Amino acid sequence: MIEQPAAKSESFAERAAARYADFFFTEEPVFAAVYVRIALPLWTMGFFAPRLSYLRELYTDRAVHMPHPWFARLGELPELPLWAVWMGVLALMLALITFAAGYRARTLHPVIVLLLCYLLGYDVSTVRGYGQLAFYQWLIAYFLPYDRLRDPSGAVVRAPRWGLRVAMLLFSSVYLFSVLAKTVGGEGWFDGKTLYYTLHGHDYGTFLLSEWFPVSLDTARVLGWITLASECFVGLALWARRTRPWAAVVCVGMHVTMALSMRVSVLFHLLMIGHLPLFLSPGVWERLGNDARVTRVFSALRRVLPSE
Amino acid sequence: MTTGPPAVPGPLRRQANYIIALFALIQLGLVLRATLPLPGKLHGPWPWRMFERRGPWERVLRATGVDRSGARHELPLHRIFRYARGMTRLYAYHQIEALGDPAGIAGQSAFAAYVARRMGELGVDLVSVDLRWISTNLDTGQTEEHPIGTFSVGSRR
Repeated sequence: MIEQPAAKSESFAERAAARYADFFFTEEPVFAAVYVRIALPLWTMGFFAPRLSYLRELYTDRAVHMPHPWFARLGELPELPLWAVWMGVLALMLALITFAAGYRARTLHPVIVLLLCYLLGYDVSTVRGYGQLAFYQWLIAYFLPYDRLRDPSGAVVRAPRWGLRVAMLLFSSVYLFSVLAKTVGGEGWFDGKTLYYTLHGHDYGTFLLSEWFPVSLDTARVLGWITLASECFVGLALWARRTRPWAAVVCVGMHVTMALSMRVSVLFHLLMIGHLPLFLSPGVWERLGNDARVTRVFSALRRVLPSE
Repeated sequence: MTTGPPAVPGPLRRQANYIIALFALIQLGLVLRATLPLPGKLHGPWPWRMFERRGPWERVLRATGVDRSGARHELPLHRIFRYARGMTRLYAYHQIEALGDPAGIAGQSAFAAYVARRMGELGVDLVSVDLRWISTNLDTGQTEEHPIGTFSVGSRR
């Protein structure tokens, strides 16, 4: 009778340790990691492509020198001349293409992160939101087993999933923190005013749907509640097998609606929707891998291209 | 078939645990930073805040220059600043904190000198630049002017 609680507690600790080990350290096929190795550099190239025409304005000829606060705290780096910025951006693009192709990806990864540190840290348009998320995912991606999809015998490589789990947790936390920021830290979401003025304003609103069909405050209130519920649902429901498809549908629906009614970059929506495949089970990846012709073409290319 | 027993060797697993713990601690720190009444810069906003509040007022920057003959020119900020965030009309100057901070005179002065220099490249030499925010109420259409200041820029070029 006396020892029962201790035994219970030990069994709980054991169970918790087992759940933790299962959650982070179970081995699974590395499809998702290889997907990250291809999708993240492609997205990053998309992020920098529109900036190429504005490198002078963004990096060298600035009204007020405003490095990222982290750089300011670290004492700042010297500001590079325009030709050096061009070299940096071109080097980044080349590194991203090579990384996505899987050639010396592990070696290139720190180089890409260092180039991003300068290019994001010294951009006059201080990085935040989706740019920040992508940068953090570049840091986490170093811990993904993305090096090769198949071993020499042709079997799909299996590796512990902890790096992928951390990337997935970061993605979920964006939605959950966003709800807290709106409800606890912000204001105007329960009465709809924030969404109403966002959709009616010229900074982010009066764009496509919000311009064609101006919403009333009552409608904005309903849409605000739906947004909060959707963000909560996406942040949590992606983790359960039963609700995962619905969470993915809600996530895509939310971002498509935002893209059609607010002046927020398509890159933001692509980055968020692009995270959803991380939640696919290895079995689904396997079926996709067997079925998709694109993958076959990619595999053929991989056989032709030189490998490490 | 898709999952198996945990199989990470000891030292690697220890390092992985450290990184997972660091990630968890950062998340916890962000929550505490946003919720606890910490002093100064220790207190911070919620991470990943997007459209967390929005009022009926929207503002645009108006810059007016005076040339050597005394003529006034409204400066074409849309030509001086070309890069806008995403699909918005928010240009780099929207993020310059000094323009919204009454104490940020050095930054405001640097900004005025910059737009004067860019106007010089467009063929207009200025001696002073007046900066002000024009706020518009989305409900009523009422506008308000919030002067930032008038800055002498003639000697800077």
